[in-house]
Amino acid sequence: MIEAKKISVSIGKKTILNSVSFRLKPHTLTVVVGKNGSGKSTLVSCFAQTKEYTGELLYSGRNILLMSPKERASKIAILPQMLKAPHIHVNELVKMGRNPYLDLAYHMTESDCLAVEEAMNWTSVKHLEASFVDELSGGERQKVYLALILAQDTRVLILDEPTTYMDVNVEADFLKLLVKLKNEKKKTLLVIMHNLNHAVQIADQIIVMDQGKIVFEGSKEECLEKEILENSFHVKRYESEGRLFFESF
Amino acid sequence: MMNKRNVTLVLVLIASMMAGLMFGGASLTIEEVIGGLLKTAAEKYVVIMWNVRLPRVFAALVAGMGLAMSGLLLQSVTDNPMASPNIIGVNSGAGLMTLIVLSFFPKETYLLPFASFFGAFGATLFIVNLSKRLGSSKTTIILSGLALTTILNACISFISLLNPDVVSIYNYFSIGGLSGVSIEELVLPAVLILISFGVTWVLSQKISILCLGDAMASSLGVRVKHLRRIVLICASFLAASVVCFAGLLGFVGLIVPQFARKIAPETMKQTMISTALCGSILVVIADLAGRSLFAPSEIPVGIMMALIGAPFFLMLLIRRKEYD
Repeated sequence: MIEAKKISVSIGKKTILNSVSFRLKPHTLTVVVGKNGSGKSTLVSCFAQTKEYTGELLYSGRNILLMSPKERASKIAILPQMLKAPHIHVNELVKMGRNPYLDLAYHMTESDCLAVEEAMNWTSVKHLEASFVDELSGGERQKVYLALILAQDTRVLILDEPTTYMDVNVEADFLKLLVKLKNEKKKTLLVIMHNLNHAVQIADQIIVMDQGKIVFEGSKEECLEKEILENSFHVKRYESEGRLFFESF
Repeated sequence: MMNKRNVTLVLVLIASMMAGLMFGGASLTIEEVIGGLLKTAAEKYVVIMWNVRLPRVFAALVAGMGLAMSGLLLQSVTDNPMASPNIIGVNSGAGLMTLIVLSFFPKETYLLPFASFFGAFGATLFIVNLSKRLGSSKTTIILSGLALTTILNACISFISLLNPDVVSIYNYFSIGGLSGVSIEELVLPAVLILISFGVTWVLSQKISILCLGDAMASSLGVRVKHLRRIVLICASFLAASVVCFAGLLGFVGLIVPQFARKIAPETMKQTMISTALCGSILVVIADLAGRSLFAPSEIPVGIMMALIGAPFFLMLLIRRKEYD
């Protein structure tokens, strides 16, 4: 469905991404992990077309660079790491998710309204619809933005460190929501994460990046079996109450 | 279509325009104003209305709308509340061209509005092309605008040194004023302002998506750089249209959009309406105050704007700080 072929990004003489290639399996949740500066967020910027790159990003075999912005937005939704908090109502923000399907007059059809409604119900933010985005907590804001990209109604969702501003309880609920999206809505997700414990908790596939290169791509089971995370991040693994945890030496 | 607050603003604008027609060097009654407008009153009232008060109030209305809208658009596309027409070099471009005409073609005063218009628009084209080359980022536009303003102001100072005779005339232009304006010279600016308003009205929903940041807007299918350029051109048209008849009015584009966003934050269209209305109300009242406070002497509207605008702006900053 989604395939990256030899994606490279350079800023001046510095190489940020070096011939990165991978393929996302449909209806799976793939987590990308890597140290700071490994190129994870740059990879997301390439999908958003906000960074110039060489190589190809393909959606069902078609180069997304050759798609119109609206067509691309109807196939891939992206949630960047840094989210703004504008002084607008939550329902106005979620409605923006329908932009790829609307004309200049911005006329919302019944199905557009339904998509917005459903997205807000799915993420449990319906009660916030009349609130201002800049008055929400970090966790609420992240959920509202998730509703926005759900309203976008795409098969692929790419999220860049979506739990950055959340406290522990909200974070756990949010991660469950992502898994639910994959299982019930049959979405294909690519999630950038820095927390290895959360990564192994929700991932089907894991991509490990280091210094702009992919050092591992495969199933979670294979990743654990080969002790890839332990070697890449210099952590030790232990198990407690049926869950895996990683801890620094 | 319009929320209640904007309807209230329409009523306030009508009241302030009416006050603008009634008061000034000489106070008139409502009957005299209406009689003057309908040309049924005595000749002197007709002359006062059609040659002085009506052009003046209309000029204030157009100037307020154009500058406030320009400020709103600049602040939206640059995501910077300090962005205003004088920041990206529009005003300085107009000022330089005005001074060039005054210095080198002093008898060709009819060239002034056209020169200031092309100066302002030239500055915008420069900024748009420079930001295109450098990547159109929000900070790039502001910084390149500041750099251009500095260069243009240096040119203005240099030309003033060469020809000290024009300095006093330029001073009035740089402060901003509406005296001596005629209906005829307002037609072209008003048409350009309406066209720019119309274009941005059509694009308003996409402009509002820009407030989510470039990456989010791009992933929602917005051609960010393309849209930003169109909006910058419209913002320049709006400001330049005003500068060519009112001079360098500074505070309207800076403070009005911030106030208007608080009045009507629901949608970009509502914010646009409240911005245009608040801008018009502010300049109409500032001009009225300038004409009335020390009548028969007159304080240019630019000075009144600074006296009203600066404390208001400080108040907004203090409130924001308290809120934070």
